[in-house]
Amino acid sequence: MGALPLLLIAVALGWPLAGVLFKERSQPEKLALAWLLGAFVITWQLFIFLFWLKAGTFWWFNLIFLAEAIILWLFLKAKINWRDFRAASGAKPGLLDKILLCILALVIMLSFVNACGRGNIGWDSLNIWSIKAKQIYYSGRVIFDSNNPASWQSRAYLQYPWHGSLLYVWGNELNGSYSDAVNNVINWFYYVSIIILVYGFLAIRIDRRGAAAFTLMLASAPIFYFHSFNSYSDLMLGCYAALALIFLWRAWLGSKYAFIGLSMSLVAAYTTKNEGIFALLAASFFLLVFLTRQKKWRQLAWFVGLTGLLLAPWQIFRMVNHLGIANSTAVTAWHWDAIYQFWRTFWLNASFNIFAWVVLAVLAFAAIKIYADKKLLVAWVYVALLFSAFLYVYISTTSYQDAVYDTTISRNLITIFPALVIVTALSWQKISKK
Amino acid sequence: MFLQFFAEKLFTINIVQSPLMGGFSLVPLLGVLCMGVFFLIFFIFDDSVEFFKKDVKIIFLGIVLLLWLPFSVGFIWTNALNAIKHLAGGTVDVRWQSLMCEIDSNQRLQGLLCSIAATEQAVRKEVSKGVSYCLLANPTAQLYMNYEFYGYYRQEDCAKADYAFVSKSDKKIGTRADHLLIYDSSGQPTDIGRFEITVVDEKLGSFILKRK
Repeated sequence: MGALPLLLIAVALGWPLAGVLFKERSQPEKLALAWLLGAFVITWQLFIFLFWLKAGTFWWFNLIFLAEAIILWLFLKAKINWRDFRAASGAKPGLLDKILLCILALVIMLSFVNACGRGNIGWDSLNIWSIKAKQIYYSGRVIFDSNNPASWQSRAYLQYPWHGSLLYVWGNELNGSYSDAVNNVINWFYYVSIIILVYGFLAIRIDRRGAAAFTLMLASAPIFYFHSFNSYSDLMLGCYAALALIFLWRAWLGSKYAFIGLSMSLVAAYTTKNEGIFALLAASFFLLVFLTRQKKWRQLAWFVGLTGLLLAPWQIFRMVNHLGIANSTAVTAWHWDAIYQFWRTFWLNASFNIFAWVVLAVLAFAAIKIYADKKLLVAWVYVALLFSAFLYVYISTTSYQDAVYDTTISRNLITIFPALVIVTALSWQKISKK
Repeated sequence: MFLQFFAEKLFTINIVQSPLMGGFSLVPLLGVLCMGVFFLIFFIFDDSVEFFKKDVKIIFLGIVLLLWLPFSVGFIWTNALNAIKHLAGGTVDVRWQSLMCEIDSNQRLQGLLCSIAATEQAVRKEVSKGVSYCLLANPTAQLYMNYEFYGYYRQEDCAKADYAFVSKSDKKIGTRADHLLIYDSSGQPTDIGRFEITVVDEKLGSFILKRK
């Protein structure tokens, strides 16, 4: 329960925003969105407090967060309305739907047991995200003296963003003592949030049964499940990349403030992992084209301005400290063998169960209808661009070594996975003999 | 048995991002089976068969879930069972934690770090129960552990510690019979009492010793 105060503060901050951005959506979806946006709002400010203002990890930052939450609640006239998930058909869930949802609930519960019962024992969890949090937690501040073994420059991976680690710092501050379980449970919050958002998004657009089945596949794909209780940042990034797709979709449907949600989710992705830049560039491009074609200049200006403002603290810090964005360097030869490694990781290994084959089948049987549906086609292009960006990195940089040893591709594909589940489910809906 | 076979022999291997631990995967077979069966239903059978009059996409979903669930549920259950056993046990089994790390790891260094994390977690839980530790880890272990032990597990605490966590290779540590010695910078030994080995962590190159 150590992470519960963090959840409450994040949701208090995010709820008024969720009320505006997800106005007609159900209570659980708003809650999930509130966590995702609230967590970003917290770490965005913590980055300014700790890295720019060089402040300590003072408890009264919580008062600032709560004051902001109160102002947002009053200013945006936020309220709680107890609306349940809505399905496109309006029908109540049948027996089979309930069975699928029960299995889903069991999977989520078992993940929670794991989150509570394990240390931070994954490689990147231990060596990057948690150790950075630990340094700040035990030092009570970010140490800028590079001779100090606990300084922020003392570890490798300097160019990695801070969202995950700062969230762990604050979760542990609120817990009162450092606990690996807090870090794991924070990732579990992300896992539950994306499950709720994907189910809600699909239930209104396909049907409850399809939504439950595809959401169950998302939740129980072995590597996605594995990351639900390990404090890596790949699942966080996957959540924000999928959230960006959801907001892009809402923008196409004419939702007035979708660009705000899109801007926040894209910057959150970029401040979670460097690979978030792929989502940032791809989704921004599609939104800018859409707004230009619609001649919505005001929204376009707001989107550019807000994104620039949100990006500024981390991007300027990055430039001032000469931190690159790449995790690897370019190589002189192309490594086409990385393509086979992608194939092996996604289609032959068991990390994603048989989902890659499901994607192939759906594409084969619904390709023409996907092509005819412009929104869905662009959503597929968004996912394909993310996939291609990773592929390009592995083919053209020293990362190909990680491809050969299969240490990172499966984790990188987690970034794409929730968005891929959404577009596959929407396309599955189009399979018919007619 | 069935679930365990699937989970242990197939899935726990491939989840680990590790070709070194390799293994045979049924996924391509199941994937082709999934596509093949649906292909047959879609193109060969017509609506004269009562069952296939249903919406084909629901049939497709049924096939996928039938193939999907045994694997995923098997993997998830086996995984959770370990965590439940661990939580219910109340004590930390370092070997189990190290085993979990084995599953995650594909490099020796990663195995080492996992072992450190597991040991740290073990020590921390024990400490929370009032057990005191003398921490004399090697530099690598200290790098990862000392934030947790900042300031309160210094060598002077060792004379009254219930347990000692020591590195095999640490030159500052010595033994005389079953006594544990700590050498200061001038080479003078301090006898901190009689200890016996309780856990040997080969990967970390360290022992956990209990005061006799």
